[in-house]
Amino acid sequence: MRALLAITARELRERWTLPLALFVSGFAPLILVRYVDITARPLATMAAVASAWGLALLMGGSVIARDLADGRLAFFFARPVPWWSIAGGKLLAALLMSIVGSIAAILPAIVFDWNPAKDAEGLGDLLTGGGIALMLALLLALVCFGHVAGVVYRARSTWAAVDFVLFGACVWGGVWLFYAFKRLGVVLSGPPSSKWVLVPSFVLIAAVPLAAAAMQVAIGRSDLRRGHRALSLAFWTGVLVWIAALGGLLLRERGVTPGQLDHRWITGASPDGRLVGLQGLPGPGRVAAFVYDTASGRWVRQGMGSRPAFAGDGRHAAWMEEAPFWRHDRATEVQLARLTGPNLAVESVELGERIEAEGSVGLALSPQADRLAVVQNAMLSVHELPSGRTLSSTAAADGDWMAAAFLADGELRAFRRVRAALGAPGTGVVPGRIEVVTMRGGVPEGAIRLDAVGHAVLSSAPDGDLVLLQEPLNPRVFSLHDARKGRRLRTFAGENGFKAASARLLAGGGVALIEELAPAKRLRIAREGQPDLLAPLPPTAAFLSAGPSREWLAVGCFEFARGPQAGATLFFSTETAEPGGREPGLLPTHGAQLFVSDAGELVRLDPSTRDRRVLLPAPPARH
Amino acid sequence: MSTEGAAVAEPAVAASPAVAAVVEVRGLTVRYGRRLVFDGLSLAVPRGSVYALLGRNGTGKSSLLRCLLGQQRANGGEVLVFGQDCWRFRQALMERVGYVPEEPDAPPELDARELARLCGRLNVRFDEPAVASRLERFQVPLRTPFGRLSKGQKGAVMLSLALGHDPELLLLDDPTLGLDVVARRAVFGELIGELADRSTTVLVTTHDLAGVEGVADRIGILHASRLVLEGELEALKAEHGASLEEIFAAVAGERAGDASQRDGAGARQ
Repeated sequence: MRALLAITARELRERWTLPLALFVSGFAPLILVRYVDITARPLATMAAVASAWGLALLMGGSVIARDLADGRLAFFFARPVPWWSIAGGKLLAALLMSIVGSIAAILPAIVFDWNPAKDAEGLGDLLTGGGIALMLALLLALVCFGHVAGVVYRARSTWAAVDFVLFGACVWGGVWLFYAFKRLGVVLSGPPSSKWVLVPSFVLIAAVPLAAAAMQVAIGRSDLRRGHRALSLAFWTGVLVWIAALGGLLLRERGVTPGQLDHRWITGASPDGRLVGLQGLPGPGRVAAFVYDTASGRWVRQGMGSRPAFAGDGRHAAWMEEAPFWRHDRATEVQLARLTGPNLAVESVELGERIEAEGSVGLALSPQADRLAVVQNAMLSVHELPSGRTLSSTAAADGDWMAAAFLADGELRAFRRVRAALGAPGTGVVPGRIEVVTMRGGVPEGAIRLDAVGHAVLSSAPDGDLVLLQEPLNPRVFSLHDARKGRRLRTFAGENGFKAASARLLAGGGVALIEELAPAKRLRIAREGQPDLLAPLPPTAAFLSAGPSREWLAVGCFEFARGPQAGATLFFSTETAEPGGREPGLLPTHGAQLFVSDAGELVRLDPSTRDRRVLLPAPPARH
Repeated sequence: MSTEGAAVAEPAVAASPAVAAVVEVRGLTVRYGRRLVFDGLSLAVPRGSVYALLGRNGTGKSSLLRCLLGQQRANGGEVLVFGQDCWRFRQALMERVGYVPEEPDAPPELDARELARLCGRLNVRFDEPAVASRLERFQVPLRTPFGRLSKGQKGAVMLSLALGHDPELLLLDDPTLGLDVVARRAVFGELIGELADRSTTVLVTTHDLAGVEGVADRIGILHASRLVLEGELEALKAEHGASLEEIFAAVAGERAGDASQRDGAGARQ
């Protein structure tokens, strides 16, 4: 240890001017803010972080490799010092210099621009326990990778060609694995909840070049080329182990079945309820999605690019996935699943138009799955299937596309929100509005304005000519519209002190609502030309869903709330609003005639007898 | 790797009276890629002797020293110092071995005093005051960074550092290369003066035949991957009735001529 510290001190001493130079450069942001409209502290933080990273790479690349190339490492090997003291002392010096250098770079901003209130978000975030640990792990990894690169560069041997080929292959393999995990929903786009989560990963990543450095110094000693060979063998062995481990994880992830999902939920369903989009959590921080055939129990894994859209024939589903990273000509691709006999076959469809992966993407599939509408905020495009040929692309102009749905006759109905704008001088503001655009064969035929405020949202998926909007007012208001004529059919704002809490379009027309007047709740079923039907609900009643058949409406009661019927599903006749029994420990899933039991089973109720049939058993964790 | 680590825990290699030769090389083979440097080289350096290893450029003198320092692993054969394998027991052996490289390799930013202090931290047996007095004797400026010293001064510093822990074996890799006559005399004078009373074993590789003639008591001449001549210097001179320079020219030069004639004949055929 004495020798290790002596070598560390010597290395630090040799480079003592570096922190000084970084300290002086740390004044640059303070000077820059006088001329540019930016804040000094974030700039200084960024500069310090960049300095630390750059310094770690440079120090790692020179601290041993330069001595080797200059023939000066033999000085230490000619002393009674173990090899690990030589390598450890030098790499420790590189790590310390990176840390000291980054502190020196940010010191002027801390001393001369101290503002604790602002610092809570920038530097303060970095200086948490997790932030410091992550930075240290990252710097260690950079120092070690810098060392590997430095040795390869300075050795200038033919082995370097092997290194470059393997490096290229590993970069390709790493990117391929990353995107494979991303498509499966394992790599999420958001940052992790805690920086501590990433620390072990960086330490494990650093372990490979660190082990390679150890092998190089232990076996190569003061011989650069011999050390390079030892380093290469150790490094690429470690990398291969890493890739093999990640490949194993990928295989395990690909092997996830719907039966292993915990916290299942439904993302969509075909009109007959046979095909459903099923999502759930196969493990912590991981999400998996499937298109699931409830009749046969077969399923296909679905990427995370969009929710699935289902055709009216109940035999097709389509969803968007991020295109493989090597396909520069397209960002996304459509997967089309088809029920052929009992099997679910999936084919990839290359669309004629580039669809960006960013932003939310909604899909609508025609009844015979021969056309696909892709809804993005700025563009609505219609494509022919399975060729992918683009039939039309319609910009939202001065608004956003909200949703689209195919009618039974193949007509496409799209909803566009037109933003409020300033009118001609003296006319004031032209309010925003929602328009229904009808398309036939992919060609817009006309737009009809709905009688609703411009910032309303679709309350449930459009069904036929009816559309139910939720207008974000206080109290909450739901409104039913005729999408073909643009006429407002009815407004549901609550009556007799009750407020509308939730609403759902019923199959075959009509609207079901949950109304509340704390603590009472009631069900309202409204049909055109008929008096409303009312039925009392327990205070725990929370959401409406399809029942096992169109004659029944399911009302889910919060399972975590205390009170009568908590965690149960109540059934009401859609014709009479009469209660039709209850299922204890069974909650409806949103958007499909499926239920989740207390044990986590996915259950289908028989449409007539309501007998339970378990489609998916409880996930393993709950057994 | 692990063997060297294991050596850390062991006591320093004990000097054994049973070990007649301090350095023993048996059937050493060293190759760099396809180039064969040694092909079954064997030699022994008796305790207390000054052994001069001679050879033309590229005959592998430095490679042999690197093997003896435990910095290069042999492709075949055995390399023993004090009866211990140099590769496996490098750390322990370096407590008893001093080394002066052909190219001075000390950190260039440190001055002589700082170098002595650094070596003191790397070697618990290091005698800093003795090194300082030796440096004064060599008239080396103590506060000048090593990188700015003259070639002769650098050699003097390296020799002082090598002797700082009172080594039982001193390895010198052409220590007078590039030095003027005065500096050469100082180096070999220091060797004679310092080592004569201590019975330190010295293995020196050099081209300075005149300088080494007054110091060495045994010589070995390397040529074409082998040790082609070895023995007591005075006995060899008496046997051949020639000076060391004449013997060296006859052995290394003649054989080189033979080789070039062979090559020429091969080309003609």
